Amino acid sequence: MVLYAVVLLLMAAGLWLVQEYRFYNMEANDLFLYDRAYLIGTLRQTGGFALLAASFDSQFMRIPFAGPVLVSLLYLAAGCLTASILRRKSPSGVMDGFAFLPAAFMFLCLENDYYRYWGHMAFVAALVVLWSYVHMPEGWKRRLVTGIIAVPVLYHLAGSAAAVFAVGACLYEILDRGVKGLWALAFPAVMAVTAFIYVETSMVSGWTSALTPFMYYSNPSTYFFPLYAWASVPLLIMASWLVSKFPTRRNSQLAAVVAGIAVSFFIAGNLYSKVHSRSNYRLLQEEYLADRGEWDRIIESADRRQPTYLLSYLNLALAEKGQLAERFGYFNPQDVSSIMQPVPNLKYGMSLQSKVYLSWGYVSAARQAAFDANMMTPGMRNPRQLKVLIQTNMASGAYDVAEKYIAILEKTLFYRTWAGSMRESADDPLICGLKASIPPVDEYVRYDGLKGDMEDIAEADPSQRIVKQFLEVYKIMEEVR
Amino acid sequence: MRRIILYMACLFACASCSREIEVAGYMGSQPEIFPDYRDVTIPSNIAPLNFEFIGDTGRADLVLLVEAPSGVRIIRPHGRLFSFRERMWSELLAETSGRGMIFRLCVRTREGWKAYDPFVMNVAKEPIDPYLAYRLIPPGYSLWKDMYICQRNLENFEEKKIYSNSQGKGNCVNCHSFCDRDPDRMLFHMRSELAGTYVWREGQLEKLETRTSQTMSSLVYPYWHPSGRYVAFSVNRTNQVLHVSDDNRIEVFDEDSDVVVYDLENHTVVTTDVLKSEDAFETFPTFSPDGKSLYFCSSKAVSPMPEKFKEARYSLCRVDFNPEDHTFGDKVDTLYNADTQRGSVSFPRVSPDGSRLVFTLSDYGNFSIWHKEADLYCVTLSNGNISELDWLNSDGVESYHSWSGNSRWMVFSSRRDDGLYTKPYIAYMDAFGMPHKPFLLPQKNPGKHYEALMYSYNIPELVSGEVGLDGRKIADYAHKEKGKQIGYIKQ
Repeated sequence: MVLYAVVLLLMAAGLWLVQEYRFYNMEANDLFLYDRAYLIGTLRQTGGFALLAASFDSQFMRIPFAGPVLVSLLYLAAGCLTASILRRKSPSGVMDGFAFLPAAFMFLCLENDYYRYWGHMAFVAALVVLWSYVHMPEGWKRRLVTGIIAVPVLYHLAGSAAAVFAVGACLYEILDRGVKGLWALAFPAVMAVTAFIYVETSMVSGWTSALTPFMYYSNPSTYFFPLYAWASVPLLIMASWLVSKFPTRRNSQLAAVVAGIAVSFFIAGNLYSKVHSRSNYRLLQEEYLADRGEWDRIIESADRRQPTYLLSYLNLALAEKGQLAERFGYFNPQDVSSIMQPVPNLKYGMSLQSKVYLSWGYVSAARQAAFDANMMTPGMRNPRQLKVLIQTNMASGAYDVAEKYIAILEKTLFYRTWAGSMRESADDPLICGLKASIPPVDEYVRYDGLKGDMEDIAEADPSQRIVKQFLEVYKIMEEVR
Repeated sequence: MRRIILYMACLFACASCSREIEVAGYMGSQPEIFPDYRDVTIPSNIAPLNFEFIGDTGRADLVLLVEAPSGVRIIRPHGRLFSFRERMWSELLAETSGRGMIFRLCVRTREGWKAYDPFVMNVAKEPIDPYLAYRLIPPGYSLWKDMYICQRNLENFEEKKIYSNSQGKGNCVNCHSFCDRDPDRMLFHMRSELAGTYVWREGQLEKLETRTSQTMSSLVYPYWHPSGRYVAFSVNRTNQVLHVSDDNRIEVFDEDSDVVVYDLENHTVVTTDVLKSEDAFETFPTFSPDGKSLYFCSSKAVSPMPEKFKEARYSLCRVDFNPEDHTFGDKVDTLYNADTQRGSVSFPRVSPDGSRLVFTLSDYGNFSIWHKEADLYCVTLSNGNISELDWLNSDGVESYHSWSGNSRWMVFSSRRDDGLYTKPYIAYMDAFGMPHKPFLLPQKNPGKHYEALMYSYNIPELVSGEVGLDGRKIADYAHKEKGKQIGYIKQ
């Protein structure tokens, strides 16, 4: 038990070090609602149970260190379940170290923003069912019936990850029984039939989603680590079976375990260094810090060779601290476009714009950006953007629309108080400030360029100090040019 | 045995008590309910109109008395939701067809049950087409993500997806259109990847590449000729800007547009000078039910855009069309003159009996869904009289609309509830052409459904049956086929 706790803590600490902001982002992309209709609706979806479990889990990830601990628990569970499954084939435990290979690939999945935590949960659910299956009493009829029932049930509850069970259980039986175990081919067959039914009834969008981890992507992506995690399970079962054919000594057992762990860590570490996108991660970090108003930390993390895509958050932080005009030139500005530099990801770009425009008091532009960023979020429930949507709709008098978003946040654990407070927010300084900054004469957003927009807002509400600083710097940059 | 009899007797007594509601007083007003189904007219084949009481009576017990010729039925709520079992609802509709059912909502107070003023649901004899097709799309700006073309059985709560864009490549799908409400003849466009116009008829899908060197864009807003051989389309160069402080969030405008007619047999589009004028923007074509007239909207060409888009006001025009040789008349009739009448017309739709034409009128432009002032108007085609459909209009947007096959029902999109998320309302048009109070598309739990829905109902189209086309078939076909290039003929 102590060993497990130590491993858990070590993994959590590692995740905290390299992926801290990823977890806050996961929380913002998977809002769990305490609402009967939402629960029933989600359970009706393919993989709905795993999705609910993932959403429930991820709601806590806004608490520092909760994300790494929860995800480490999942990885530990994946490792232990795999080890236990492998021990059925190779009781000596010689493959125990390699049992962490699926977890290593799961870790790499985190790097893809489009791969949802849902996929993690579904994979572990499939491992749980496979573990239960391999530990059930002998008797081929009972096992056949169990497998045949388990596949479609698991498919509906967890989605395409049921393939891990179907293939794993089939291979397990064939390796165990030889030709006499061929009845287990029924499991992949049932999986194919189930997938066919779900595809034909449009409960799944297509064959690729129906049979592979692509079901768990929010956007089409060519990122194969989830597939490696899945494939590693039957491959490890096969390897365990092969290993069990050879006698092992205690020393070699220990060496194999150590080698397995080393290989898992090597794969995770080596591939991580190759696939890790620092630019993406920095954007996640800046977005989180900006959302929390931690302007000092954004400024502290900047340097003179600040990448251009990070300049916008930095500019915002400097403006919030009243230092924009004074320090803008220090951080590698290219030209006037450095005021509002585009970022290399549409969703992050929209999030950035909603944040910056909101701070300017640019209500309609902030509302548009928040809407689009929210739309890019699976389920269209991104609390950061919903907050902006509530504020901007209230400021522009669209109370009924704001009410719709308030009702969503009121069904969450961590945002319900804030949402409730917005119902009585007639005197809220932010809303009042936003109202004041709406120019009395209508224009079109970005039609006269950014400068024209800033001038309009600054003129409408001279107390908007952020936009005034941006405007000041803009004019300076124009002169420099 | 005696104990069982006693128990049964008690149960029976309790049940009898629960069926008796004695009204001890009156509230003096009608109850506040969502959706507002008070005094609406409904078809005899509609799904149960479940509703929620939204008045302020604390946690007091509620009960609903439904009066029909066969007697009074007592409905108890789930929380505040009054939902009707489908069988009982069907019986009620059958009993009250051509008349109406009376609803009396009672609340328990210290003095006993108090009744709100009753309200009526009039049940028209004429049925509505059993299906409604629509696109579900977030009411967003220039970006999109998930969207669906769906069909809803209006006789129950079953909704099916005809196509989900996740089945393709996440591309935009739009402008679904049916020939005379026929589920076996429909088309829609896909944009971006897998782009093309997809035509479904006689059990076959056909993909068309509709951009030609003589037209400014691919085919856009469609309307089928009743014969099923032709489809009139607009071709548009569309753009949009975002307002800074106007209540209408977005302005979508055409920088140019024409009308063409596509011949499904010859795979060519044909047009004529009056539909493709250099000096005018022509859009939103609609055939008359006899197929001999083509209605369209036309504005004088305005430039530069967007500075002058408020000057783009669309008149309602008509030109002869000969389906035998797909030729057009030379004379253009103007039914609504935007220059003199100061409004702007979009979405003309003629009732299948040919007696009336309903259109959307806004202050300017043609993208009325983003115009709060947009309302529905009706032209009596026999005399050209134009009247506002007051009963259907609200302070919010009323925009896209379609007729039922018997010309008695119209479904239209409205943003009256929250100002952003478009919902379909259904209205009865009586024999005199008078609209009755419309009702919101029924749902099992309408409050929850519409509150949680993050999509707009876009282009609601009544359909006479279930569309047999499914998304898988469309996606497979879209990936496989390149698309047939259409030709162009100018008369």
